[in-house]
Amino acid sequence: MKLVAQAARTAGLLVGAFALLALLLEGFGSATDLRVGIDFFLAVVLVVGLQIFSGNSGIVSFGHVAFMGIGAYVAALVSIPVSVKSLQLAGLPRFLYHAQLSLLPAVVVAALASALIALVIGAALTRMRADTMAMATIGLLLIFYTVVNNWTTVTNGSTGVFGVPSDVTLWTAVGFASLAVTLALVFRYARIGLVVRASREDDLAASALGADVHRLRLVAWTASGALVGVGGALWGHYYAAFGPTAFYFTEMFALLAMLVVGGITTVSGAVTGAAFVSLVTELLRRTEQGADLGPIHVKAPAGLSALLIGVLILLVLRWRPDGIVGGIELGDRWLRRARRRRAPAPPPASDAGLPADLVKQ
Amino acid sequence: MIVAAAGSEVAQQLVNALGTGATYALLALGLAMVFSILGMVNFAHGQLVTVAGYTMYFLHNRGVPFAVQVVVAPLVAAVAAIAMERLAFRPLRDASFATLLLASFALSIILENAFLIVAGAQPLAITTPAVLANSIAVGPTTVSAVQLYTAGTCLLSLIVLNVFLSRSTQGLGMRAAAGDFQATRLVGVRANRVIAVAFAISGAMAGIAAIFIVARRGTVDPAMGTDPVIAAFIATVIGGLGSLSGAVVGGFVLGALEVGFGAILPSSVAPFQEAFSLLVVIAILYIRPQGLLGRAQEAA
Repeated sequence: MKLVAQAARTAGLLVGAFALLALLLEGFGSATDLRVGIDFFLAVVLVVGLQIFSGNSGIVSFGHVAFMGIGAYVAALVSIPVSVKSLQLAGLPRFLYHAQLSLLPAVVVAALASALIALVIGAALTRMRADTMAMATIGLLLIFYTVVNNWTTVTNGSTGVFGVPSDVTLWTAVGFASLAVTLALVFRYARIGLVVRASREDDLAASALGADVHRLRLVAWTASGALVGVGGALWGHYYAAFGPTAFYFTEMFALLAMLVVGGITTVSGAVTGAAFVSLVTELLRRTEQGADLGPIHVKAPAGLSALLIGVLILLVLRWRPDGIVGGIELGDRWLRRARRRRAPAPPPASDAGLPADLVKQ
Repeated sequence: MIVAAAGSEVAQQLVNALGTGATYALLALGLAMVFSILGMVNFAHGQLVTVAGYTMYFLHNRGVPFAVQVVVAPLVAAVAAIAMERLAFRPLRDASFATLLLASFALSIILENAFLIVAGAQPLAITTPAVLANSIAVGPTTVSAVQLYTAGTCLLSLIVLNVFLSRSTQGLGMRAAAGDFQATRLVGVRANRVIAVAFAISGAMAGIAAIFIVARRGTVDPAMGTDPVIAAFIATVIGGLGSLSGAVVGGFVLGALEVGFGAILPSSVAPFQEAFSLLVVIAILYIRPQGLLGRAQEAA
């Protein structure tokens, strides 16, 4: 019950923060601010989706951007108007060619497609050891890119697709970001999340205690792939036109940067990282376009923001390997403080190495 | 006539496979050398190719002869590799596998964008001597010179490296470190030295590979290191990540797969060739994670 309360508290705080930010953006933000805000909320869906697998299992996935791409392409293919499809995707299978769904059904179809593909791929991947699996996920990223780049009848190849209905509003993005953090927190504090996190600390010990680590990892992987697919579907419906390079190394690195900078083990960390990296990237992007700092006009060269994000990652890995948030969920501190007031005795020191709330149970 | 033409075609394909495979082998060997000692996959290895490429371009523009370029470029890449280790990886020495992999991705992004800022996104043309562009008569057939030189030089480098690893004290120390780093340190081999030498050699080999990559492309650009490092990564996985000889074999297997798929697959499927190679990689990771020549490891 304490865990349910904890999940609800953190989710409430995060969703409240989202709503406040959205109200501020709507009330005072410029068109650019609004775009940055929507970008951030979409990033939250993607990064929190990735966190469900990588954060809980401790296995870094370099391939989740493939699920973002699957979500984006599937949602685009089932909703681009037929008149626009005839210009670019005339060879599409008939049932796809005539499909013309609105946003929500398109997102559902994209989630199902991503989940199905994640399940099939994950069945092989999650049986590997952690390091091997991390490498195999790089293979997944590369395979997805090669296939999308060349499967011209369905994806229009390297040209990409255009004419996706641009129907994601600020409040759609806020809604899905809130849904994503809630789902991720429920997963984290549910039994399965606890067991997957136990396997992160010691997978042999978790197996020895009767946990079917492979199967639970597969569930986490599939849920994670589905949510990232949803993020991709929304992303595609926001940008309206995209090609294969949108789902390659640069985007993979951006998502992992957010997750690692914020703190991979918690949902609050994923959200904080998304906020921090979005903010830094946007500030740098504005200087790349030229900005006036008082009397001085500064113009940073293109590529500087990516370079500095890279430096930021190296610094975080070196000096704050647990991320900015440091393995804490929002609201965690209050809980601890309240408990300390009730029971002043310090907790026994024998719980080293286990996730804090596993010990609490 | 027809027989001669077919023979020439086969000879050309063989030389192509050998040349491509040798380039991959050089790159893969660099990756494997670092992996065997530090247990990390260095994705920034590709940017060493970029460093060497831009070094050649810089010298080329100042009228430095090609013969000097091909000596200086690998040296600069070796120094860059040592700097990479010292600045980015040494502070993270005891970090997890995924952390190091992510750090190497960060480093490759940093370097790629540094080149983008300094040199611009446009590919810069660089002319290599005409002898590389010619065809050479080998017995009754002719084959492209650049592939033949690639194969020859890469094989020569591999032989030199092999002699170094099997005859010199430093080389023996490196092989011992590749086998069991902790035990090697216990018998008095200096860890930082071994690691620095491993990075230097991997940089130099990336630099040599870069000469032929540049000769084939005719241009340098900030992203030129990405495809080579992916190929090298695939090759090391095929051969077994910790194994030096496995990396060489993996490089040639990948070269043969690529040329073979290119020659055999129908043109409608040919673009997916890389996806096939990668499926082979995932299958190997699944069935035989230690690679074709790697040693089996204790689980966890």
